[in-house]
Amino acid sequence: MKQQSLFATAVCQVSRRRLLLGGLAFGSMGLLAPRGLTNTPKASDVTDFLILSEFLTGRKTLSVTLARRYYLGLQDQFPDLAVRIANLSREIHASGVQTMDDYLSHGPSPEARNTATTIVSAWYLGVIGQNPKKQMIAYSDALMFQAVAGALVVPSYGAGPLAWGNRPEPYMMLKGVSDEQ
Amino acid sequence: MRKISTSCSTRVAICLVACSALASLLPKAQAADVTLAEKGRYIATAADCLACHTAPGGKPFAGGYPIITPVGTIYSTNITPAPKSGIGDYTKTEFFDAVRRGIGHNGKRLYPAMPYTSYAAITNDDMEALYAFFRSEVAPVEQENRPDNIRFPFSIRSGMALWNWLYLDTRTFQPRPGETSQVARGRYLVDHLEHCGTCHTPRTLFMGPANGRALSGSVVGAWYAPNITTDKIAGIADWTDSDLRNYLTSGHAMNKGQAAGPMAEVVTNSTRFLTPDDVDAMIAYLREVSPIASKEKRSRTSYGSTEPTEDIARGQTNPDDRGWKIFSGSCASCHQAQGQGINVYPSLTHNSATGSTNARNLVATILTGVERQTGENAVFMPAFGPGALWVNRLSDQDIADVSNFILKAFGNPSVQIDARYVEKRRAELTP
Repeated sequence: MKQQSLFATAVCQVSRRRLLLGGLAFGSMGLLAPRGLTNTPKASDVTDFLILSEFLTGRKTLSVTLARRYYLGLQDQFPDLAVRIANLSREIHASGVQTMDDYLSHGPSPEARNTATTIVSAWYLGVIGQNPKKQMIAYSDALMFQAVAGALVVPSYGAGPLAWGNRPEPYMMLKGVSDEQ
Repeated sequence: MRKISTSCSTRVAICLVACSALASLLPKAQAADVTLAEKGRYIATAADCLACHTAPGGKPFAGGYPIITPVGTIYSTNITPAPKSGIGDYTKTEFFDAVRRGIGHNGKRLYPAMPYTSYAAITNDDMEALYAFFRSEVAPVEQENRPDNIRFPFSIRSGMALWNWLYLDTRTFQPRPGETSQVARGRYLVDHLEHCGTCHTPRTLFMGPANGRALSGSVVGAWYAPNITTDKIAGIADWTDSDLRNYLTSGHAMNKGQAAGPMAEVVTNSTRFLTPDDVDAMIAYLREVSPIASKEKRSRTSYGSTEPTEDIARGQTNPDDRGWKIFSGSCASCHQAQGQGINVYPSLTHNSATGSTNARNLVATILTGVERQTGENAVFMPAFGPGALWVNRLSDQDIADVSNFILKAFGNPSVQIDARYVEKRRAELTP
């Protein structure tokens, strides 16, 4: 009972709006795909990828647009992506866990762990794959910045004068010379 | 009977004591003058004389500020008490006539760029105080006035007599029957001292205020002074009292609008110095103004983000939208990637400048930037127009592209502009 439930519950959790958006995403995919991608994914592939990503990252509000772009990019770099995702999903199903932490302590197979790491690192870094085929997808919305958004501002973005701290005391100073110059 | 006379005599006694106490500190007349002049300073602040009578970077009240009108550029005059170029030799009557009747020295007619039609209702008491302030508290500066370049037929100043006959109401302020004292005070401030209608009321073909359309919004040079009536869509009915209070005292109302351009000057020089009671009075009166609708279907503050533009375009080797690129390079570091703003940096969604039916305030803000003093803090947005640092300057096409992107992604998508539009606004900002 518990086993079959992960994806079923996950699908239920996905709102109708989101599924609709997924459909729309699929519609516009041809426009977005670089260099005329031949193996265009089905809308349900992107939705499945989004649901899987939300499980892997433990987040509930990942961007549909980014999910689509990560999926396309990963598919470009890993032709066996669909199979790998299917294997990973099956393993999660089989383990019957409810959270990523439980899954990790349950002991995933090296292949599944590898797929999970690839997907999670894409979401966190905003970058897909390895050199020389690295591809940038997101910057300010990369999860590594979102994780600390309450305290830190994304580099090169500013939070305004009210966010500036006091100037630290200089470590050392020449006698009588202010370091302002 | 006896009781009254006793209390009278007590009061006289108290007065005598008070007077002699004052007299021992200061000569009596001088003390009264100081109080009167201080009252005058507040009137001058509420009437915002400083904003127009001071050139950018110039001496206070020495004039030379260009006022760009559809009929030419008018330079404000020197109103320091300097005898030659200022108003040092104005008698009290001449001063009263200049402020309330638009009649300068030797009967020379002033242009209504000087809002004497609004000031006409200033009470005699307030005029006395204003006169005392300008005589004793303003430093005299000899600085010659710049000639105007007003086009015919408006260049004939005597024609203003006819104009005055049409548009000048010479009655001083009287509370209306049934009006609360707070609303009356607010009306005195909004319609007369602060002369809000000078910018916010549209003008007729003869440059007079359009009757029946008071405060319903008007073009002001490159800028647009929006509708501030109580209309549910076109006006400011959706602004809460605290939104309006924040706007008048700091120039920033969260998710409503920010003061830039001439309105930033108003906040910097005038409204932020008003007493809390006076600000509340202005708000109370603004709630009573008749609603005047315009053609728009949605309130200008109602537009939110439509699509996750940052998610779509970041990392693409050739993002379709050139405007997004410019936004990302020039705007996003403060207004943030999705235009959501942060801390003092306003959001571009739910913003009067981006949700308006015209792009004037958006383009003028990009061209000139924002400088506004609010309390201890200065609000600053860099300019991207001709006054900007070389590295920041944007071309007309750049500004058109980035404006179109902002309007589509965060504001009113039905407004779109081209480089010619920006070129015209640039010209309007150059005196």
